[in-house]
Amino acid sequence: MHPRALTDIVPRIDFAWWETAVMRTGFAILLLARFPTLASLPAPGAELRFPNGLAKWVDLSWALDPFSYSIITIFLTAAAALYITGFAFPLSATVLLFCYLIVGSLQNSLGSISHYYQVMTLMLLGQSVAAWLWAAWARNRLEPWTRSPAALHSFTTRVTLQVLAGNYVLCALTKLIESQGAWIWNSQYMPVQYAKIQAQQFYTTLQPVDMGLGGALNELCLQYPWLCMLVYAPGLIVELLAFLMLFGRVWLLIVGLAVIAMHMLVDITMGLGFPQHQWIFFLYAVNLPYWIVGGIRYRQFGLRRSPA
Amino acid sequence: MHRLLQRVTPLASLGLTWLRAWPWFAASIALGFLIRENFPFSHWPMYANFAPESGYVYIVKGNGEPLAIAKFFETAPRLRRQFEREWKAEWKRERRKKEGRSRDEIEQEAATRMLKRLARRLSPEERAEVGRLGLVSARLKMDGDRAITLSERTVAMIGFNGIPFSPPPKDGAAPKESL
Repeated sequence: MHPRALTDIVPRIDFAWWETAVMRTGFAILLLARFPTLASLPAPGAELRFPNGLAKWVDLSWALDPFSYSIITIFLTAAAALYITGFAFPLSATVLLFCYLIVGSLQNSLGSISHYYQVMTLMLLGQSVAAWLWAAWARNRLEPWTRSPAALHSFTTRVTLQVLAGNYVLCALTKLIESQGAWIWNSQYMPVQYAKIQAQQFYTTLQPVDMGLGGALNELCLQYPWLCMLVYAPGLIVELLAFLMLFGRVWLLIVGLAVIAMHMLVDITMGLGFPQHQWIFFLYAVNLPYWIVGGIRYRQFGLRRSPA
Repeated sequence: MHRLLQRVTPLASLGLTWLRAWPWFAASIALGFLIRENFPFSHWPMYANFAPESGYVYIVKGNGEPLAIAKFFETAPRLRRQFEREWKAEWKRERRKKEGRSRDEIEQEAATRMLKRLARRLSPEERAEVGRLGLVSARLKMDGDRAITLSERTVAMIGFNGIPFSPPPKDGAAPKESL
């Protein structure tokens, strides 16, 4: 088979304006809802012992002041509103990126790296860079500022999907590298992690932890190591094959649903919830509006062709 | 070998064609590996490997009773990583300067530094109620029969002398993070 035949199975997905409008609206709401609170950042005046990311080079401690933080949230809200409209997209995406970049860098500068805001910020980074590139190469330089061009939003959505796929595949590759290929085999030790997670959840609030189905499953995993491998191996496979979502609409839907299911499984079995990641895949990969509109159009088309 | 190469070469060429078609995908992987844990980049090392041994930390009052970590607007996983990072920094300093400190002393210094930062969040009334502030390190170990044993050790205990009070924001809430 000629390689060309295989590369041709990778279609370029063109997203309609209404699809990207729904995605932007959902993502903007998510960005507003999940923005780290001031209390979750280091206290004003606290020493940033391990500056992370941008904080290594730039003093960002001014953002810990309540007044500065409230200014950031005003910028965040205004940029999110503009982002939804799609006008001046390079600007709105960049402002959102900087709001998350400043706060996320500070939150990670005490020595503990959390992995809750990276994906959202990387999506904003990809969208910002893509939007500025598009604006630079546009025939009409004013277009991305005075209009909400469907072609620009379709392009930044394709970029977003590549960023998402890349990071999920990267996650799987890191697992394989760090475990020297033995990740599935080593998952037999998952009950130790489970006990740790349970204790950590208790000591965070001192409230009794009800792990529900996860507790029962963990009891079984303690007795049967192969069950651990069976439960956790699909997660690695889903991450490794996340690149398939770039192969067209149907693959996008399948991988989107698989990633959401994987996060649900991890949440149930380990108590590690990533709701924002699930929402992101629901918005960008499952893309319900496309399938609803497609279904309605197909139905209408079918009715028109019907002799009755 | 020649046949194998003949089969592999078109596949490698196909892989490169795909990567060229997906520059942002390829860049995401490459940048994640290169830049690693520098926000917003990450190579996603959480739960990248599992071992039969693991651990966590928690905070105790002067009388040894646990204190909710959420009170400090932190979570237990974040505190564990902060303690590990502090400990590693102290360990590096020891290796560089050869001060002759034992592992326990290094851990104590790392925990003390962390506790002093956390103590800033406690009001004078809370400090009076708590008495002192301590950090407990717990280790979990799975043996050959898959039984998990727990061992705990109080790493450091501090008083509040000379530690200023940083009132938390009024709308304060602990991070919603469990990882």
